[in-house]
Amino acid sequence: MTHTSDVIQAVDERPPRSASQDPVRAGAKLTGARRPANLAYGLDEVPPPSALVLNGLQHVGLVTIYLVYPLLVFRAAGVPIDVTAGLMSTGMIVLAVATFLQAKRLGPVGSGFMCPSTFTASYIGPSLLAAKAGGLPLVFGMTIFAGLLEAVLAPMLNRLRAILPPEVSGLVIFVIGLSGGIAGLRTLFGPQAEPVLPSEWCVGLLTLGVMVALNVWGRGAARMFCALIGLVIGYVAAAIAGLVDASAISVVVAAPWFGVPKLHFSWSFDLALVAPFAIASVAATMKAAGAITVCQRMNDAAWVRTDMKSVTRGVLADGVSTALAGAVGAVGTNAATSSVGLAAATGVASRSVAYAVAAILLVLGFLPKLPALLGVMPRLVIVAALLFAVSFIMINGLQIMMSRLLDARRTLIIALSLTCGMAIEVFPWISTATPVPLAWFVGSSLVLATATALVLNLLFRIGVRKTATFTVKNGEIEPEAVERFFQAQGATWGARPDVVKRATYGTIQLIDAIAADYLHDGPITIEMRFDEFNLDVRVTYRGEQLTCPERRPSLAEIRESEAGARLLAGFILRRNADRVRTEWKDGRACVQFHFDH
Amino acid sequence: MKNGGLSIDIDRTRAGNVCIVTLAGRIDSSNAKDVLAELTRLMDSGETSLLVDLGNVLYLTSAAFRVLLVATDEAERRAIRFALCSLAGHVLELFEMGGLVDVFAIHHSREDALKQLS
Repeated sequence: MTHTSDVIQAVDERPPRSASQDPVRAGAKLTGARRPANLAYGLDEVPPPSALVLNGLQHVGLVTIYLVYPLLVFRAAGVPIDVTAGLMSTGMIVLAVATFLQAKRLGPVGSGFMCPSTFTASYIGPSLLAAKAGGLPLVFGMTIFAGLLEAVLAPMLNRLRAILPPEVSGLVIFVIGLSGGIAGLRTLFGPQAEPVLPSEWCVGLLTLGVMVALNVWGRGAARMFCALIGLVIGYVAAAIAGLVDASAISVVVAAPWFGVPKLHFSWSFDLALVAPFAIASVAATMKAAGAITVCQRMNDAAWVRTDMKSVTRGVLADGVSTALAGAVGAVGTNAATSSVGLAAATGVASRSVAYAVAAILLVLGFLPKLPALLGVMPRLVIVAALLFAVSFIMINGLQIMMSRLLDARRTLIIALSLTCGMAIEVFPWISTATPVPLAWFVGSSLVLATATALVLNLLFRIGVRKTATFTVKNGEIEPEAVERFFQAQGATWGARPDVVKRATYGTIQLIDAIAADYLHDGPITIEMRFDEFNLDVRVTYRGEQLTCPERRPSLAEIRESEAGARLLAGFILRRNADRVRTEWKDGRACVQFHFDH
Repeated sequence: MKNGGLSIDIDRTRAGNVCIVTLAGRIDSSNAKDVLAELTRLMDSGETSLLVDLGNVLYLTSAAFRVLLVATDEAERRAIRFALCSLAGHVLELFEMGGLVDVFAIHHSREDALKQLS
């Protein structure tokens, strides 16, 4: 049986007539995207030079807050102040390259979005472990491993969904925040830490207080730059309180105004650190994928669901950047969700801004006085900034966990994993009493919590697949009955309402399209299958097969015949589901919709 | 689908020289013809500006999109101003999925539309 050709060229016979929406296209990189009206500068638009520089500086201000992460790692590795300053310069150049790679689209690398890179809390815990175990060469070697792993994971993101459902990924992000905060506090209160002076307490509380106050009660720029303002005030207060010692000031004074940073080519590898770095890499992968998805939505008013192609390219760029960071002497990088948030708030999503950010970071990398100033930052100021930053990471993790209905399975996954992870923080001697290779999994709270969640998730998948069937008699087609069936099953199974709604619409649209001419005798059978990560709908009927073209039929075709409307139905069905498959055998047609859940 | 157009309500109001047709419910192949018949009747009766309010529509199938395209074409042929308004949530998503947002004159709200059409 053959119908109209599958591929029909969509040609609009007349110019767009939308009165309220500007039909400016977002360019070749975002084919079919519609520019949202609330964007001041779209992806391919170039702001005037002053706006470009100001926006670039804003993003650089946000990104530099996270320089406290490498600073903490270099301190833990016992790196001298002057060397730390050099490494911070290298870090800025790495961020410049990473931001450029993400925006430019070179070969298969780069999403093409304005999504600057920064250092991430994900690698803090593992990097501190590596710094303690093998110094900087081990930090950098393991960072290369983490980056390469992220690059390998990039094309497999869809398959990871079953292994990393929201309750597991949310838990990983939550524990990254919590363990990062505890790691920072350990530098103050750990067994080898110098006692905290009363003046240090004051500086720490002032720094954190300013950040919190501006974030909670501040407005506009004060709120946006609360962390940066807190850092500067804390730094000044520390200098007044005499907490910045003379040798540190002399390093800053001695640093030249211009200089080329020395790259650090020394790497080592430790099998015992594979698990923590692999978990951090997976967390960075998820964060990068999330940031790129936000970019897609921000740049496309017609966004329906995640375009995995640009996510894969973006995550690949993120992984390559982290590997590059390890190769030249920096810690792991990640897409800066705070910068993406800033772009959404300001409506400036132009790719040119990403180039401006990269250019500014590159220039800063060649001005050694600034990294030297960062390098001698008092420890209480760093920890205050860290605690502030990880608060948002923890809440982000909680929100992801709570995005699903917490049934018995998910409750146990979250609670048992969290308890196991926290046990390592409270009873650190557990790991020394555990034999290798099991010790790799109990070496850090992040690893044990994640490993427990992964194992429980796989175990609890037993018996989760459910099936329900509904039969529609020919001549008694009622869309309300189909809606009731989907709603009842969706509620019983705890399926996401938005996915159930798409499945319901797809089925109703299909039945509506075939009812008049394509349906012969006999009933229509609807089979719904659900297993937490997939919702599959299979509709079978005796009759002709519906064509689902990849391109919309022309307006003339739709207007002039029922066949054109049917092709439009097929086109909508293809876009409504994540995958559509049609079959026809022995007079029976079968249409299968797949929805990622 | 079910005959008799039971799943849709068609209501008419007037604001100045604009005739507002409010559709509510599900628009599919069973009632799309009723919608087209009503729009054609209004055009025949000499209306110069027609506004279709889709704010209370639950969903549209391809049959409904076809009817709206036919009505748009007919209105253009007769030099009648024809616009849609109040597309929200799922309905707006369906227009986007069908690649049809730029094909119609679409206004965010009834008030916006009346400002343009009056």
